[in-house]
Amino acid sequence: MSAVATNLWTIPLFVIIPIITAILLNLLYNKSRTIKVIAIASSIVLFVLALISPYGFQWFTGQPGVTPGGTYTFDASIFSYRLSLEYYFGGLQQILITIMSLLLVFVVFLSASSLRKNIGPYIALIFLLFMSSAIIIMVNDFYHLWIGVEMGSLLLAGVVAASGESISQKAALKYTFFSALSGAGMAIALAMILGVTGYSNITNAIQYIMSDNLSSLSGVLYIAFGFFVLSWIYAGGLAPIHPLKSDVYGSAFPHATVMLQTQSKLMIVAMGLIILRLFGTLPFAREVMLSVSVLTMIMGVTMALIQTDLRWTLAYLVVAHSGLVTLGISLGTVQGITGGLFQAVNDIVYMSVLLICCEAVMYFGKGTSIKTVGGIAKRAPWLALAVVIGAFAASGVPPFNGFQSEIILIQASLSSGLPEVAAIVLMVSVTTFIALFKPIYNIFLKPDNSPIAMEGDAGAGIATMAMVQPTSPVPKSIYLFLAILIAIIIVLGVYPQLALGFVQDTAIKVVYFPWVP
Amino acid sequence: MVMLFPMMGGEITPIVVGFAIGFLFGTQVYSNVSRRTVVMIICLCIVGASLFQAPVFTWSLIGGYITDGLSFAAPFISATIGILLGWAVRGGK
Amino acid sequence: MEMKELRGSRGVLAAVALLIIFIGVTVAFVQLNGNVARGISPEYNRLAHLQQPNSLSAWVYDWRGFDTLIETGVIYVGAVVSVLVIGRGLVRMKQVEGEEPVPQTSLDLKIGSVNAILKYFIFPLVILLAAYGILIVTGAATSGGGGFQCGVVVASAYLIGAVFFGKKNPLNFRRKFLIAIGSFGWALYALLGLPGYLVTGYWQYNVGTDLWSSIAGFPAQIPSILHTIFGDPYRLALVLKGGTFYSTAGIVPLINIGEAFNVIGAICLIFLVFIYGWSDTEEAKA
Repeated sequence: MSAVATNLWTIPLFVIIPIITAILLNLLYNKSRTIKVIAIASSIVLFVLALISPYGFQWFTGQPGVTPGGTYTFDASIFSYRLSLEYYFGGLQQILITIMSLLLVFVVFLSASSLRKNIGPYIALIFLLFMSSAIIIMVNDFYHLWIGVEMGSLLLAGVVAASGESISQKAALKYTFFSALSGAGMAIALAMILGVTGYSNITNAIQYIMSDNLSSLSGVLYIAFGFFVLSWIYAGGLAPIHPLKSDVYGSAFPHATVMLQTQSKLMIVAMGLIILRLFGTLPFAREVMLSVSVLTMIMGVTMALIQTDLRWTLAYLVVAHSGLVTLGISLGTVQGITGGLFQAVNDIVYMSVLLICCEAVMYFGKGTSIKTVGGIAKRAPWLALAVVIGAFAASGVPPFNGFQSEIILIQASLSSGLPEVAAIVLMVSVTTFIALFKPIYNIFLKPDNSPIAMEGDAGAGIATMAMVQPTSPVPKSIYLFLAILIAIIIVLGVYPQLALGFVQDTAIKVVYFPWVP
Repeated sequence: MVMLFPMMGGEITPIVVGFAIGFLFGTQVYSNVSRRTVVMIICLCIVGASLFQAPVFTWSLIGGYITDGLSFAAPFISATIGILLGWAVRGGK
Repeated sequence: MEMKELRGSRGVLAAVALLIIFIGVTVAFVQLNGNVARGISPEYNRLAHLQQPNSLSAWVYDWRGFDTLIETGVIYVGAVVSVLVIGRGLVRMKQVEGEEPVPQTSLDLKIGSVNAILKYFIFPLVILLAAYGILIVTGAATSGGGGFQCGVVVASAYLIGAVFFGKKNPLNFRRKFLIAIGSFGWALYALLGLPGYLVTGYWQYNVGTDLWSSIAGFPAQIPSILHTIFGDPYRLALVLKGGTFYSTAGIVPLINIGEAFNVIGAICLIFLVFIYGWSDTEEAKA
């Protein structure tokens, strides 16, 4: 391994730029125009940074590593105990942060133009949401991971409660109660790992666990594993607490859900990989994770089937598809992890397409329930096309990206000797298709038969004709965002190696060199 | 031994910083108490400062150090004065 | 959740789960007893006195300065979110008519029963507590305590004022003032990393103390001007037995001030909105 930068310049900026932007936006409070300019400029800067950044470490506060000989080193490739807090930015981090910052640009634009009243604090929270997710995916330190998770759940509650409606405030409050368990569970796990190893740096802790005979302390490790998995379940909204997370997704504004589901995927991936690296050698560890994943998938799609509102269907599907991501990770093989990480990338993109379409449906002013809206395809045909493509991608239809990752997951489960898991993945794909096409048919394709529309049809004058075919309320910017995301969907579907190149490296490291971040 | 010089930067800076922060918070004070209460605050503040003693590593009169048993927390006094002054200048009744 | 929901099978389930967790944690801690690995901590202990006289500050603001930056953020976010739930910054969608948020009214404080003599002493107490908080933050580089403690002490002064005087709180922080100092505090903390970042590439590098620029592999030398700016104002004379030893805590005292401002702003703001409520029209008048 060649010498890697330990002071990579981009890493602190992913944290500091959102912080400063958030502080500014919070202070600006109701000056919408200034807020919009600053927020969009800053999110574009973050996107460009993520795109051009090289790989490396950041040893915050510039404290060196201590070699076993007692000397100090600033070389990451030399074995050393880290005095400083460590972040790592590699391929996995790059692709996830790049996509997240691209979505941040869209979400900031959408929220700044579609919301009224004092938007400063709300957009500030969205920026901090980006920051906490970036921290969680880059960090190589237990305590800091914990702080990122705590902050993430607090921010999630804030973003959801911001609409001021009683349903969203209730969901936010409930989630805050239970996510406190996530933080507390992780804190107990950390206390035990720290007690066993004495290192808060993940790399050092794993090296210690692997090199020392800890058979007398295996009970402690099991308990720590239990709490870590508990925290993983709560942070990621996996079964059996998935209803809480779906409540949150369903009651937030759809554009906010784009960020929330991205954050949740990043948390699942980061924490899942750390659990695998740290406890992968414990018997039953993978089985526990696998059963959680399977439960999440089955419960998520089942709940999605019975929803009558597009928002809620998507809320449950997001949870179900989190199960696909964790399934790949918990298989624990290179192929499985690659599939899981690739699934995370794809999932973030196609769910964003669907959620942005859902937001666009809300612009028609009749909500998103299949009972109240209809005939959208007539007024916004391109929107209908986008939602259909999103639905195809989500159900794993070629040539879209969902197909590529799901086929890897199926192959990985088959080669791990788990054909029943492969069958469940297939079932999730098919059920996703069914669950999505019920609301899509009703909202987009079925003619609008609400009383107002009927009245318009009855009128014959030219003036009423104009009312029958009013201009679509969907702004052009939404079509631009959808086009970019659909382009990503198709490119990844046709040429998956583009994304696989980023994630494969991480998968190999997790399996063969778990101590390397 | 009373040491006036060398007066270390570390001794005078906390006093200035304490005064400045105190002044800032003083501008937010709204009260209509009598002059006697203000005198009482200053007296209590000096008693308090002698109880807190001078900060560690303070070795000169400016920092509030007189002898081993007797010293004053100068930043505490300056912060109180800062609050009272800020109240007098920008605060309200 | 009401207590009656915990009766029946759910309650039994919850009790069993708690019992399992309790046994697990107890067993783990019993196993750990006497087997705790020291890991990296001896190294920290060996270096702490070179960093600054107050070991706690060395840990919190120097070794793990960036970690504490994000922790500080948790407090800031806590304040923003609490205030948002009460009413500051609730948003509505332009196109969608939703239900209007419930207006929040202030708490009904009954202060008539408070003894007049007691009230007479509360005003000096509030002022002195605030001054005590400031004393803590100015001495943070040398003695125990620091930004968090200062913030909490000043916030308690504010709360005492609110409890005894109701709406006529002597420490009458305005909403905009609190939001401003909270934001200033976190921004100051975050931006104090900038000098170290520009010179060495390591964020939050302590340019005033500068322990490591002589080690091989360190990217840059610290210009003496940065030493002077960030080191000297808080330079301390540590008199050791063998002679006089000069030390400086570098940017740590400044970080403490930022931290204190953030905590004061955040916690007082939470108290303020929970006691007095939030209303945009009142805010516009002030």
